[in-house]
Amino acid sequence: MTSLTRRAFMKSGIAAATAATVGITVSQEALAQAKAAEAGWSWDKGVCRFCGTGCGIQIATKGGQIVAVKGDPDAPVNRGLNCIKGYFNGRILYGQDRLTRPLMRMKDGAFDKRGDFVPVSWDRAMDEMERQAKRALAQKGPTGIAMIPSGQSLIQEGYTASKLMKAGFRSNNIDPNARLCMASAVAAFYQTFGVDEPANNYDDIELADAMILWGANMAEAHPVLWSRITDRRLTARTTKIVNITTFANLSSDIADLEIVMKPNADLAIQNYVAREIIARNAVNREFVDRHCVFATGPADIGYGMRPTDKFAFPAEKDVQGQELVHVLDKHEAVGQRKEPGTRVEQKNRTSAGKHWLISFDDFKKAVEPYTLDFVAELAKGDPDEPLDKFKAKLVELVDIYVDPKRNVMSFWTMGFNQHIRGVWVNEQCYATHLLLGKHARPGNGAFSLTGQPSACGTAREVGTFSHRLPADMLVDNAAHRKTTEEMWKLPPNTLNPKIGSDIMAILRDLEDGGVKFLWIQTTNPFQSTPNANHWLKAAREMDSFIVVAEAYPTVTAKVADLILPAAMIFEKWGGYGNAERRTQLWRQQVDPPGEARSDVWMMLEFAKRFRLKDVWGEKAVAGVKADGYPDGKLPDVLAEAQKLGYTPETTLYEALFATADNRKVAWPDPVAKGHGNSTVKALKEGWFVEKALFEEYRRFTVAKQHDLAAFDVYYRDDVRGLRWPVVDGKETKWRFVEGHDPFVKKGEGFNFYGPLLKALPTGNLDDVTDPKPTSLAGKAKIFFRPYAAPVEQTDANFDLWLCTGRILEHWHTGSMTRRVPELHRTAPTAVMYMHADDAAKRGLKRNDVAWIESRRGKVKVVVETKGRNRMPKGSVFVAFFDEAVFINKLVIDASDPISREPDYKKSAVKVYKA
Amino acid sequence: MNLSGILVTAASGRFDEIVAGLPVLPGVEVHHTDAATSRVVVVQEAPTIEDEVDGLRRIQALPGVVAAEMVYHYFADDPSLAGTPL
Ligand code: SF4
Repeated sequence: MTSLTRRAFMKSGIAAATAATVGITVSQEALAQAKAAEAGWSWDKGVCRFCGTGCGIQIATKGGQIVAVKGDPDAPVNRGLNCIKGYFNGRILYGQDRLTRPLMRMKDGAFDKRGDFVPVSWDRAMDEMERQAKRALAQKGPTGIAMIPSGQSLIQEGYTASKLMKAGFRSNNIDPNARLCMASAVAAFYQTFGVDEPANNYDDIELADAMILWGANMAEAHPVLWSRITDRRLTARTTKIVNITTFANLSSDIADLEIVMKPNADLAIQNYVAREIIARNAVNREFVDRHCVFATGPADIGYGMRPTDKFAFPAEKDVQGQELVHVLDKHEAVGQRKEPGTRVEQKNRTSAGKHWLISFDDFKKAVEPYTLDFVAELAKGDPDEPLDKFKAKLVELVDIYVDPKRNVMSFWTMGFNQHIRGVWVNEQCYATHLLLGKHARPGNGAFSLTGQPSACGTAREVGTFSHRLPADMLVDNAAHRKTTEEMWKLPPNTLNPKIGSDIMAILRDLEDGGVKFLWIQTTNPFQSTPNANHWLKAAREMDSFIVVAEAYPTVTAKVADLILPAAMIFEKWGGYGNAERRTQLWRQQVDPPGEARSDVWMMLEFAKRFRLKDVWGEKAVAGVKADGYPDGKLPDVLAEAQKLGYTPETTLYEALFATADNRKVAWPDPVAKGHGNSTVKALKEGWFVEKALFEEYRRFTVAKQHDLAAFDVYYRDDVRGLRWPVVDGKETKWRFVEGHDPFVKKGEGFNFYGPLLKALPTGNLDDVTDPKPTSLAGKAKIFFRPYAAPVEQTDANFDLWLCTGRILEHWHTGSMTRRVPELHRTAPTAVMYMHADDAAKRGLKRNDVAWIESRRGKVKVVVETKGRNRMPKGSVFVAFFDEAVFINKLVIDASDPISREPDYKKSAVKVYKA
Repeated sequence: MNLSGILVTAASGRFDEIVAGLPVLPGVEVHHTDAATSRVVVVQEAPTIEDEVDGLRRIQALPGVVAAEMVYHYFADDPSLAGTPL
């Protein structure tokens, strides 16, 4: 066939396949053409690795390469469509600068922190890792070792990492990048419902009559869900879309109501909504009385910064000082029923999450100050908008929420979560829906969206956080430790009962020398964490060893001492869990390039190098205090280990991973249908690692109402992921509601059965009055949370608000999307969006280069006064995908004190001509 | 050879105009049409993957086009794929 006719032939085939994918009828002949064009290809289902939406894709391979990607028409999430990133799931494997060999900093043939990167063998790389990890253990004990995995880690990777760190090294210093995006959502789920993950699901989009976005620019960040929302808006014309945001963006284009507010004003607006629900008699009494209680907690909880200014840059010291004492501004004072100017010592910095029951009357009294006048004056974010117009919008927002004929969904992402009071704003949103009885019902619910593809499935459900164990269990809960020790066949009191360092604390530990060995997987924290100048300096100057498993030379890889070349998504077997509890598994499609290996393989090989005598003897861990543990120590469990059949010489690989049960799961397996397995091939042990680990993990889920289906079920041709709990082969669309959730009994109506934090003392709005715990089994909590101002404020010097976020074409730090040339070209460098008048005032115009500077650093940016984001005066926006515009250096590392998630949305900056 | 299958949705009443206008764009061929739902399937050929997305944007910018979405992406023969490992 000549190249011309081959081209024509391919085109007809692709056209027919495209038509079939979107449901346009084509002739038998055309279908035959499609088949012929794809001769020799093999198609298989996969999942997009770019965001928490979890779109299904179909991947074609030929001759060991991925050749084509199409939307999966049978995937209920996306029904055949993807956003532009989705089509490059194949392309991202083939970037020019893909890492394919281990690279270590060397000088004169030996490891040297100041040396240059030199290719080394895997053996050499692992030898050095072993040496450095053993040194860290000897110098600092278990907490000297830390790991930062990812919301993009596969379920099996997260499980392996968690078990290796918590059971093997007895260190809880493992915390994923998901801390940076989801931690506030998680803490609010725990506090409100006693269990993580949403009640609702994506089907609600087509069942809702109103969709309210709180700090979620879905048009850019969740494009496929956005197209479902747009379709709903266009086909059911009474549907209303509300966009509540700090600047007008692409999601505003189709919104019926756009509310531009000041930073942190969401706290006040939601209290106004609650006040109105009560004032308009719209509380769903029957639902609230039967299924809810009211609660509140302390307001003096600090800002998640260091309590000392020892490490602060001189310019940072004034803001950092508020960590211990904060002076209430006039809005905070009114909202907290105090005098403006009151100096409040932040007494509950380390007990920020504590809370107690209050009465409905107390709740009503608490929201009383949040009148329309008060909130409108505090919240209006666009100085050019007339106050009356803004007030009318707030009233309309309430009209939409309380309308008994409307099903209402609220959606949020980073605007709520990356917030110094992120847990509070999440809780307030549940409060609105619970007061109205509009939650956990088809078409009605408060729904936390996720950013990363497996923030839910891996980071949260497997529990790769410093406080978590699998399936919503916690390291500081004795019963949970016991369950986990039994499941993992560990001697009693092996697990460390002290919550480890969260991701920001791990970086601070690097800075103050507490962590000596850090392993980073599938994430780019040196670009993505706030106030990055501190951590970059710490990484290069402190006496630590940093291992980065990566596919591309990211900022973080360049900061490392050792780079391990990692296999990417379809180069290994794996699974993800998306934002609607849908678990999706895929087969390996192609082999990894060169010497790249799966993260699971790396961890198993590393585990072979440690014997129980190295890790299960008595170990000092400062601050340990728990029954069965000597103060400040983890006990020696080697004697008990012998009873379980281990010896001091047993390796962690044998004790934790290659167990007798797991070795029975043999490779090859019919589920593979001829696909390869790079992990098994490199490990050379003949057991089907990913299946065995998934099945092992599944036992936790089945015991804890998170039931996953068996591994093989997810590979059936008729399955496109299943929403857990999967009970008797059936997925669950709505949790906690009778008729949908198998754990809710007949006659109960609703049962918020999550077990955590379900016995509380009682008090008033200020404190506990009766410490005796009351059980609230089966109930959800309606929290009152007051308005609190951002800790860093704009002033005469730093006179603009900086908000950061992501954009459609790029995903997070751009470590993969920047390898796809056209995505890179569409938005080659991050620009700074600002109001034209703000630019003019500084002698700037569109496309000028300007400095943007905060207390923490400065970078150069190109000024953009038009385009997708339309800023109100006083605010600027910069995306964070671009290494060349390292915006996170400028961002304050203040965090929510309950969730420890940083607030990337509110830093004070100044802008001037470069 | 970079080929993409693209689904184009025309505004109501502008279907014929869109079907006529699409092939004028470089590399774009109309293959299947569905007047009932105002949808058109085109295949776009572009020398590089970059031109391919520029082309998609040209289609999206065509007056009367409500949406143009890539559905199928074929990239096997793209010369820029010949990566040189580090
Ligand atoms: S990036 Fe998100 S919305 Fe786009 S295709 Fe992937 S999963 Fe879907």
